Amino acid sequence: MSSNHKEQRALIYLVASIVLSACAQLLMKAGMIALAGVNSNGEMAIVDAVLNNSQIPGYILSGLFCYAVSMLSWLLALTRYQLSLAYPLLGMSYVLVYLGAVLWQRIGEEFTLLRSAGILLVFVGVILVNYKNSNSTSRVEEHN
Amino acid sequence: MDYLLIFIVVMLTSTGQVLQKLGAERGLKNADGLAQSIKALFQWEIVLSGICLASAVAVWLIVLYRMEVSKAFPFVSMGFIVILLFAHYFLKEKITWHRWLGVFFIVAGISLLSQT
Repeated sequence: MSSNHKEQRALIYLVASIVLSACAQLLMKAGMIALAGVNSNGEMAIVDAVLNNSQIPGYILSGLFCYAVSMLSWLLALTRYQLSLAYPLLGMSYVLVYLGAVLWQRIGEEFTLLRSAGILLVFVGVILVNYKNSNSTSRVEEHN
Repeated sequence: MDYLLIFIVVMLTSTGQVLQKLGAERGLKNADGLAQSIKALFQWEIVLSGICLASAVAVWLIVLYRMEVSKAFPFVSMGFIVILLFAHYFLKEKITWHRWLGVFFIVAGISLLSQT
């Protein structure tokens, strides 16, 4: 496989890891909301559901699945990307979680000006972290 | 006490990330095919990183029990800075000034995002 091809694959792994980790958070949150609807044990509802073998919401299971795939994808991305480049980009997943929590009616969190300003700062940060690297191959390790 | 717990979360997370990077670099990078890749997931670096990250989650849950997320989260996002330091000292990655600046923006942004 050409080195260019490997780089493209690593980028796909990195993006997949970021998107999936956000999906995992949103699905788990939706699952906990669903659980709160049928189980009145508050924070312990999930423990109760596991111990009493009652139904664990599909949302929670799919959230955990996304989380596992995200972690695998992360390891694969790290085979090519520097940690000091890849890790800051994970900040994007917080932005995706916020947007998902606001836009997905099942979660329906509030849109606020302060939090939206936070998105802007993260975007600026992500651009700065990538700055200069976008025109060269230095974003990926050159040794080996 | 609360801040000590947060410090432990940050250290465990950052150590876990460095170990993941080392593991990815040593075994996973040159693994050929599915069988070798799966085997590479069980190298000590990656297993140890799993233990670090799982302990981080456990301590984080205790933190969440003791304080509000919006207060705790900005401190946890300090992990972004610690990971850059670790990448510099332990992984010998060259970190440009704009990468540092970018991380400060990201930490600030996440702190705002976690405000309710």
